[in-house]
Amino acid sequence: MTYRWMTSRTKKKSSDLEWPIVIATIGILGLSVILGFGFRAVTMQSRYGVVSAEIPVVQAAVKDLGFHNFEETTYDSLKDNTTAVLMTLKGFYFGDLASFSSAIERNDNKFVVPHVDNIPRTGDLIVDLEKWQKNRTAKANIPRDNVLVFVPSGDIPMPIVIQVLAQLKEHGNYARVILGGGFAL
Amino acid sequence: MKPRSPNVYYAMMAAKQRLRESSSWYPFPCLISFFLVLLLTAHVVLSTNPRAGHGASVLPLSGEEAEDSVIWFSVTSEDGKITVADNNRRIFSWSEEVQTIESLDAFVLHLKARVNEEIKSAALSKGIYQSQKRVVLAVDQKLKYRHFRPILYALAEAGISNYGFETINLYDENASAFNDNASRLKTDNF
Repeated sequence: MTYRWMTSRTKKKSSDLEWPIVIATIGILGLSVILGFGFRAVTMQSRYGVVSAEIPVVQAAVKDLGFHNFEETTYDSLKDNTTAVLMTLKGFYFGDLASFSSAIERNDNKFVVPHVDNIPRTGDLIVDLEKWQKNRTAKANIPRDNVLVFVPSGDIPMPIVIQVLAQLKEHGNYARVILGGGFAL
Repeated sequence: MKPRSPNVYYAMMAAKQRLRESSSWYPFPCLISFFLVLLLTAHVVLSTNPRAGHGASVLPLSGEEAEDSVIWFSVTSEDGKITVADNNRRIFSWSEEVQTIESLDAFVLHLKARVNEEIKSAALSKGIYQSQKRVVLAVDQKLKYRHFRPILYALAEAGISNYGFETINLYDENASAFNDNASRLKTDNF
């Protein structure tokens, strides 16, 4: 059996084989799926952060049947004078919770920071909030609290809601920001 | 060199003969291994990062660095429907114009079940991580607040008080520049 004979036989065998086009198509598609997964895994962002928010809970006494001296403490409470910020397409409105609920008819207890060219002025809002809180503490002896209720209107895009939320927490020094469902204005 | 055992010799001759003949079954072992590799790759990629395969484009904003939460949802909108998918690939969907919390019953039940699972695992391990209690929502940038509001009600209905919005953390040197630009976002750009 010479090499020439073997080569010619292999050539003949190879030429006899029919490469099914279906296999080739499936192979290419499968390979592209694997490569797609690979590229997605490589290009995916690895550093993620969280802008946290809270939903208030109703205080309830829990019976400690096992006498483990379990006690749930209240950290903060929502009151009439808790700061509230409303955001509409025209601007920010702020005041205390009562000024948007029980005393909504009064027009001297709400303040506005209008958007300029549809750009929310969150920095100005934070400065004005701080001034208002200091003034309120000096005049009515209401201490500054760390809770803020933020109520955007339904038309505000979520990226803006998240940004304002983050800025209020970071620069406004509010430890707890509560996203509200909505006010009837 | 001729093998000593006639059985080995005949086996070798049979194999030689078989290899000389063209066969029609040769693609199938390749195909089986190929699909196994495909499945393994998909499984590894999807289980390594729950964000793979979800269409939510989250906001690039430097938020607090967070551990991966156990309960994670992506929220997207498509063809007038809000689609919520969790990290176990459970998908819930409802109309953008949903009016009642009853329309989200399946989602609320799922949230309650997930919270119960976490409570059980915390009880068994006698400890709970901060991230275990928090629901993280990867909300698509195209959504408006009215689309998100039903989810807020569903979280409250399920007794969840701690939640957060996922953001893409940028590197520090770019973060301040980006945030300056981001603060100039217009409300009518969306």
